[in-house]
Amino acid sequence: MAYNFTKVDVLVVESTPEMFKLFKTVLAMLDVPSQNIDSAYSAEEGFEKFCKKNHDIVITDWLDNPDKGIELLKTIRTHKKSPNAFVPVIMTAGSSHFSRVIRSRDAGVSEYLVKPFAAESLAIRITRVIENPRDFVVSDAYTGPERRIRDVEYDGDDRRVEKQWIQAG
Amino acid sequence: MNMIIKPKNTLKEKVGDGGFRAESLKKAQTAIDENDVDFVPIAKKYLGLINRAIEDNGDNKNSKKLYSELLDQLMQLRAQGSMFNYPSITVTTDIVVDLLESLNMVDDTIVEIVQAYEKSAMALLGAKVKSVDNPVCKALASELQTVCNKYKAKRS
Repeated sequence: MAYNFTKVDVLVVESTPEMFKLFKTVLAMLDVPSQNIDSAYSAEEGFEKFCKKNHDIVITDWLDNPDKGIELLKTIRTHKKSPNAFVPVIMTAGSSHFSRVIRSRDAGVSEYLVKPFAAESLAIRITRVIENPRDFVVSDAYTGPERRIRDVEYDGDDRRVEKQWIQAG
Repeated sequence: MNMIIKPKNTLKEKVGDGGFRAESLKKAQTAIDENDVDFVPIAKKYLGLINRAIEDNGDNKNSKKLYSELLDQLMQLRAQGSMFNYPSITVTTDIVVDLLESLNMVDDTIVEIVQAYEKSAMALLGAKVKSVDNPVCKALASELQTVCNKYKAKRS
């Protein structure tokens, strides 16, 4: 038995048609039906398409200046028109620099994928958002998955001011 | 106020169990390895944008705008080189991306380094040097690395 992606819609926001085509081919080989994979080439187009279809996974490039991919991510997480602020978003970029990973994390990214990438690396990130989705933090300063990724035991005081657990959906 | 929300995992409900099939992973990797996209015009477009960004900024070589514009194009070249059968471009670009990311600024010397990189990349594309094991690629990458290291040492 394997994952069944027939009911899963994926939005790929890329900088060039060639990169989109490659993503589409790779996802199709990973058993995502081609007709379920949509393209966008800007943050604006990406959000518009996401609002229309409410995709199950968004894969976005860092895009152009000034950090349009980050903008898209923040818009998905916080805009009142966003159909699903909790959608898994995989950010892809041609740099693994620490500051870039941290900025993605602080904007609410689910997973970060450095390009060039191997098929297995993409599959690992998709598997993580399927099997280990993190709880979401919603606050004035940040909306996105909990930023503590590792499940480490902590026996100190809980210093969060107020905490509410809500079963969403 | 912080709210912790546990979103309903609709994605998991849709896909079920079992993970990815090994055969699918293999086919997906083959699709990457054997794609026949012609990277040369794509790379030349990005290299052209690098030149234009430098020209448009004129003497204002230390602007934040120029830094971002250069890094944007360089990141795309680094990302797409190996995806489209030009690991030589990814390896050489990586050296410059690493330098820029560590600085968060540009100056006249950085612009000169980027221009030298651009010439190197054009030479690799012109000679269709794809492999990182090619002596030309090795030599260009080594020269770039030396220049970048010198710059970093001077600043520290």
